[in-house]
Amino acid sequence: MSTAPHIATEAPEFPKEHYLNASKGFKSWALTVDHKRIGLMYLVSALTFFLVGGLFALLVRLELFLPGGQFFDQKTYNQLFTLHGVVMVFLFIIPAIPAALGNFFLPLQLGAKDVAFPKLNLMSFYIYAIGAIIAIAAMVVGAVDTGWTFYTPYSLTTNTAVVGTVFAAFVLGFSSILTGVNFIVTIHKLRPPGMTWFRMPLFLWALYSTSVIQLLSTPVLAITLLLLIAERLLGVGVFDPALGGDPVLFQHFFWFYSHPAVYIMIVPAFGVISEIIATFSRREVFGYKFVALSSVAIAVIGFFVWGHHMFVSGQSEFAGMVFSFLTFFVAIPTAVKIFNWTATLYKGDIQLRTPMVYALIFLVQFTIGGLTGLPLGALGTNVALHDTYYVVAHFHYVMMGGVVFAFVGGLHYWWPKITGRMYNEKIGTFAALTLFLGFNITFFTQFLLGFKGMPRRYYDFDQNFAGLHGFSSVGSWILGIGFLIALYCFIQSLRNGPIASKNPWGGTTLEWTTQSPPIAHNFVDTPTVTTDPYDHENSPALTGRVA
Amino acid sequence: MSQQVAVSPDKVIRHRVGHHWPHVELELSGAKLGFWIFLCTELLMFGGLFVAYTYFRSLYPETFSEAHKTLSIPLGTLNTGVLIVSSFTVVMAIRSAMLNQRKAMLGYLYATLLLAAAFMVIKLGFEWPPKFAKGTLPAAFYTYDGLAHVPKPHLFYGLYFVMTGLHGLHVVIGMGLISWLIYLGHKGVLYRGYYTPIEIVGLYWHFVDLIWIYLLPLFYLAG
Amino acid sequence: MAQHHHNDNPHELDHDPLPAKVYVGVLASLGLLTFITVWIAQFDFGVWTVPIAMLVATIKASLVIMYFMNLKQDGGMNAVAFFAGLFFLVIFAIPTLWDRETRDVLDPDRGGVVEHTRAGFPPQVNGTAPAAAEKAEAKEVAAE
Repeated sequence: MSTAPHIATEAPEFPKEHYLNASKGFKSWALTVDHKRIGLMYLVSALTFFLVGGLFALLVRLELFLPGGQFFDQKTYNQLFTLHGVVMVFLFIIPAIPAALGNFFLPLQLGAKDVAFPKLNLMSFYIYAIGAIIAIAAMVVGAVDTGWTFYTPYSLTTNTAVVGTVFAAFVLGFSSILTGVNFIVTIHKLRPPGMTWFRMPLFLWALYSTSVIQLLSTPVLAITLLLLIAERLLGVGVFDPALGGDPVLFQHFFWFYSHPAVYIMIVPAFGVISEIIATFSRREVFGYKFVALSSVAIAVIGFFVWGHHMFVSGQSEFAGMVFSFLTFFVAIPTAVKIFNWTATLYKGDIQLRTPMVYALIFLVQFTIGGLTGLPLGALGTNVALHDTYYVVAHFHYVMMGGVVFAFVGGLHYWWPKITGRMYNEKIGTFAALTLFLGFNITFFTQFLLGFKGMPRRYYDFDQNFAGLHGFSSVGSWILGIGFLIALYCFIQSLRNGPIASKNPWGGTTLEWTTQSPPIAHNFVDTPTVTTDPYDHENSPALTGRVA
Repeated sequence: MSQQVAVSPDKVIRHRVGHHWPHVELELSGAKLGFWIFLCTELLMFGGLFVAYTYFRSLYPETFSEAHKTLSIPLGTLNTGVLIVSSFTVVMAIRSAMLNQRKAMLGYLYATLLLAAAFMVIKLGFEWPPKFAKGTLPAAFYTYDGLAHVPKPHLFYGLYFVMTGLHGLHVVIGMGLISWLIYLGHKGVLYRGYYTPIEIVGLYWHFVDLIWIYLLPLFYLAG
Repeated sequence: MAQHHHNDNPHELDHDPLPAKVYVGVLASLGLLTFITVWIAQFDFGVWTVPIAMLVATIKASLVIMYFMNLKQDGGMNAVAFFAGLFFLVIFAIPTLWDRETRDVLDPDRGGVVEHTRAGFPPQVNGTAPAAAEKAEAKEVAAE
């Protein structure tokens, strides 16, 4: 039971000075070094690309609503699912939580006035913007049709803008790397007095682990893409069988990044869920140290398993067996988190606000996603399920049912701090439930499609699959509506939302000690930390006593 | 004694740390940590190329042992010497900054820049043109007859040009960074109280040297 | 938190460098090792040729890292960062190379080099001009 003092949700008036009005004009945003403004710019960009990627998805599902080709020819269909993947992976999901929410809240939760390298942070954003522009240009000039995985030899011979798209991904990777450097050095060097490693909020442990993964994996993607470009332009010969090269080598190079990449996507989401569950159960997270270290464990083990994407590629069976065996280990730290969150909820003082609704949905959907990864990780069953809709359903459950729901939940959670306004709970929760309905109709159906043998990336299908495909497409429309409702919820808040107090949810971490929205330098004085991050009795965010 | 710190030069701009740094020591160690982490990413990037090299060398050993003979060992060795000396001059530049010896610092920086330029001249002026003439190039442009007795000779040159080309690009970027240091040095920003930029560019430059230390035996020498 | 504030001025550094002779010594060693690198290249050590060359290169690299890059004095997280990169590079290299080595163990058709051409590509390597490429294409079509 909570003994915390009553926390005011709303405030009588908006703060006079804050980071949004600290300086005005286009240049003050274009040349800002304030991590909060940079985070906001990333947020707007990421959400825009989510919309673009989502539109591609709706077009894909539109074509699949009925058997036969109604709207697009085969090549266009290939381009649509490729662009859906490229935009969602490189322009939305990899930056979303770390660059948008992470940039905004890492210094605030840490107790620092900014990240270690503010100018580098701005440069990261511009590199991201340039990468995005190159990607869009490539899409317009000759949208790629290889799938987001760019497998050779087709990516070497297809007459589309492979070089442009792949170069865009290369540039975006640098943005990712520089953000990772910034986050790691900030956590090492800018912790305030009293902020020991095990007093850091779990979101920071997650961001640290994510940054480690980003730094170790993205360079291998960089060289893979450079080699692909060189292969196309110069004929190097590493990936092209006609030149003595090996397409399976391309897959090794590609998946060494792309498997850890999925942990770049999910680990920050885990951090967000920890924060939401702690705050809305009014309790410390059960087994805090285990949850913190499990993020690090996932970061490390995630590097040993990339070959599970290649079981049927022609890879050696021995390598396949080793990768399959190791894949099962990566589930263990993840399971630790799920159990610990559940234990946190048990007998907690549950506040069923919108962020908590998203977090609870996450627990269900991510668990399904995670468990369905196991038949895919097992060598034998993978042979039947590889390249079917089972895989598509699995990764949408973890990436969308997991990451996206955590991202939107986190956005609701931190919305009062970012904007200084509350949103309407009824609209927020309604959107969450609509999304839950739409998501499961769309994607649970696809597990069944996969079991029945429906291959992925197929433009057309037999009449036997028509019912399930049609049902899944209807689900995608419900999803679309759900996102529109969520968008409306946020817009309505900006126009008319009640003014938020410093700590509307009764959170315990340092960002809740600042005004909503925060001042440009975050804290008037650097805080001294004396309490554990989820101490619901003594946290300065609740007692008002900033040490 | 060269260890004696000179009096602070007149036209020095005294350093003040950014508002978010409690102390200049943290600013320096933070910058270094950040750059070592970045070097770790560069290591993985070039490392991927070395993995590709190993992969194909084990597939086509005769190709590699025959094709490397077309590379000039004297020029490769000369370039190795150039880079090693340039690493030395960068370190001496940092040392001079720490001792407030501004003229020496600038001298060493200019020397580094000159050596870097020499590396590029040797590579682009003397090493690569004969290859373009002979046709020992990646597959799209390969026209050399002399290696018809080994399989896939273009593979060696594809890897050679990608690896030494990427390395050369890093040398050129390094020249830009050293020029920036020279500009800062003339402006008076670098002295005993603040030489973090030279430390960081120095780390970058030593890394470029490191990659070449491995490229030399793998392409020019290994038979 | 690693704070070595032996310096009261929070804005300006106050360090003394290592003696110049340390760096001159490292330079001389690197020069000698480069000479050795080139000298031993003329000998054939069989399967040990490449490992020996790599060993010499690694000694040179260690000198650069320890003394020029100052890792010997700095240590700490800087070393962790660098060696983590090296460690994960090895994690990448080993399964990738081992895969190729063991690919043909269970299925001898699978490993090694597969001779494969595409019609007319690339003309220089195959030694075929576009005319010969058309002939190759016609042969492929006939084979189907």
